Amino acid sequence: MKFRIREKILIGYAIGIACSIAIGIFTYTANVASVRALKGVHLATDIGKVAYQLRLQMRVAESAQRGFLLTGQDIYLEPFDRAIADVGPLIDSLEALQRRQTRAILDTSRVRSLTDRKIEEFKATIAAQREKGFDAAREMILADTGRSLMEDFRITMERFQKALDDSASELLEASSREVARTQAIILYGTIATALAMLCAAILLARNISVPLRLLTLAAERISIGDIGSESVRSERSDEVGSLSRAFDVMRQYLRRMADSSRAVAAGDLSVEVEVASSEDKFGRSQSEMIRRLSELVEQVQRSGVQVNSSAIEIAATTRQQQTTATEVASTSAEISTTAKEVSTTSTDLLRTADEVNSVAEQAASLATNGKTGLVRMEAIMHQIMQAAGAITAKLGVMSEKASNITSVVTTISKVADQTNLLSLNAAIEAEKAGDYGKGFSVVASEIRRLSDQTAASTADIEKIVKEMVSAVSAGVMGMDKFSEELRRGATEISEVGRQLDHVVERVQSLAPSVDTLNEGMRSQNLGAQQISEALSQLGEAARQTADSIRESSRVVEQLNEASRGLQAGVSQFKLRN
Amino acid sequence: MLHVLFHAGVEAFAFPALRVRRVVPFASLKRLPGSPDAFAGLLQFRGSPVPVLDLSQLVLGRASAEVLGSRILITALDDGSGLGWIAESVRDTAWIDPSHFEAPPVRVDGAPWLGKVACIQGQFVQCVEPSELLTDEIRELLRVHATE
Repeated sequence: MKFRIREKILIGYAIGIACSIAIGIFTYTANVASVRALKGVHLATDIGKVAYQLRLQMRVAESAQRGFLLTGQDIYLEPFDRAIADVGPLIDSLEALQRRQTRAILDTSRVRSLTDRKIEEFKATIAAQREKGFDAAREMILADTGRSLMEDFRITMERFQKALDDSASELLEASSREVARTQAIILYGTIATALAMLCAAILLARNISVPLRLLTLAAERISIGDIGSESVRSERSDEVGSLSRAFDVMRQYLRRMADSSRAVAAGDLSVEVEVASSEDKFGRSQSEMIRRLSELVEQVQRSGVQVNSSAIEIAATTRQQQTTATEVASTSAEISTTAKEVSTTSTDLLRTADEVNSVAEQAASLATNGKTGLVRMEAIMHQIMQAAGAITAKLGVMSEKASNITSVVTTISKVADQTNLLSLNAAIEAEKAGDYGKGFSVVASEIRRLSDQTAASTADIEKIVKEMVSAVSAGVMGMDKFSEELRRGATEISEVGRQLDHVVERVQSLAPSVDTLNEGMRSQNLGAQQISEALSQLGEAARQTADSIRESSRVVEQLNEASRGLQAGVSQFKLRN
Repeated sequence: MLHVLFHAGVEAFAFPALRVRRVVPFASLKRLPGSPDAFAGLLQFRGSPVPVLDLSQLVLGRASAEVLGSRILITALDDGSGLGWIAESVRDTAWIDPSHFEAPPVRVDGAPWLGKVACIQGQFVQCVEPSELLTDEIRELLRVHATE
């Protein structure tokens, strides 16, 4: 076949369209005939209705005439006039309707003469009843003209009705024949059309879709990146053939591009891409891409080195910051602790100040008591001083007496010494006297013994008196010292009294100071607590900062890692020069 | 045999009583300038000057103190002239049998005047020989003094 795909498709559609047109023509003609027959049936029915109305009105007129004849009452004549008035128009419309068809024809002039004569007969009998009475009317009816006329009318109308019915049934039969024929045409025509279209579609599909499927498979492989090696080239002269040839050219082009891309992917940026034509945007863009990529790689290499050094600097800075933040956190924690201690201390101080205040009040009262006690004590001390003066005077007297005793004792001891000397010389003289001096020697030794005893006693007395004198002089000195101390004590007591007055003054002036101190301590306490809270927050912030710095340090480490990876990756590229 | 007891320091010494003419109280002496230390001075005794020697100076090497019991023993030299001795604690006499004296077991060359020792009432008493106490220097002095 030397047809192109467009012509093949048009032929296939033409078969289908021709079948459809044939089915339409046949169906339409059959339908037109059927409609015409159905219209004839409709007209026959309308004519039948009018004919039935005409017969009905004649019967109504007859029954009214009979009622009046029998009764003589005018009331029975009421439907008569309406009925005979309708007869003429009904015959006219019947005449008009039957002019539209040819099958069943009523002789309307004969019907009109029959009805006119019958109506004349009705009117004559009615007039006879009214003028001559029932018997005359009965005579006229028994003449049988009226009945034969009515019979003639009835037979004519029935014959017409039958002719109408026959015509209608004949038309209905024709219509159903046409409908059946239409059904057959539709059924068989549709099947035939479908078969023809199917054959055409199968032929077309086999002719077009098989090579297209091969091309599609190749295109799908290309779409998933598999360019493939086998050729899809076809020598067909139609569009499929040219498509396959163009596809093959495209495949070879893609292969070239893939090769250059593979080289780029392997890091060889020195590959050259040949541009197929001026419209080869892909080739141009790939060439441009390789050029830009080369520049980018160079830039990235430079930037990578910079990033690496910057990351190292950032890491060092971050470590410093981290240390600083940790120090800040610990320092603020220490300061916070110190501030808390200050707060605690100031609270303690506050309590202590209160205690000091109460103690000071007690001290003031005690000092006042002490002052009165001191005044009393001063008076007592003056009395003591006078007593001490008296004692000193008495001691002076005692000292004088002791020196008298000493002089007496000295005299006694001198006498005893002289006695001793005398006894010694006596003993010597007695010795010289030999036996004559023996008795004297005894006397001399007795005298010496007495003098020795006296000397010993006087030595004792002297010793006692010396002790007494030293005791008395010590007592005098002690009393002098005591008096001096008493005087000093008195001065000190008055000094202490003045100081106690000062103390009372100071203590009384202490209370407002303690209040001021309390106020200050309270505000200091508050401030310390605020400082402590603020420092806690600062510490928390510093800890958070430290955490975030640690986080950023980790990030910087990652950055460092990334930049090392970047450098390693970039170093795989081989640049053109 | 009676002895006059005196003390030099804590040591008790005995002086033969028969040599003693008189015991007189401690009195102020006329000191002779340039005389040796043992020569205490001149004492006015019964209208004539008597040289006085210091026993404490001779025995202990120090002058006798003027205290109660310090006395001067007047003795007669061979030519009949008097000689005084100053001693401390001259308060007692003691009759000591010569047989009680015993020569000490050691001989001290520097103190030839120290004689025999006796034990009286549990205490050693050493006899002093006055003639031995007179050194050549003092003898010269006394002799000059006597001739005047």
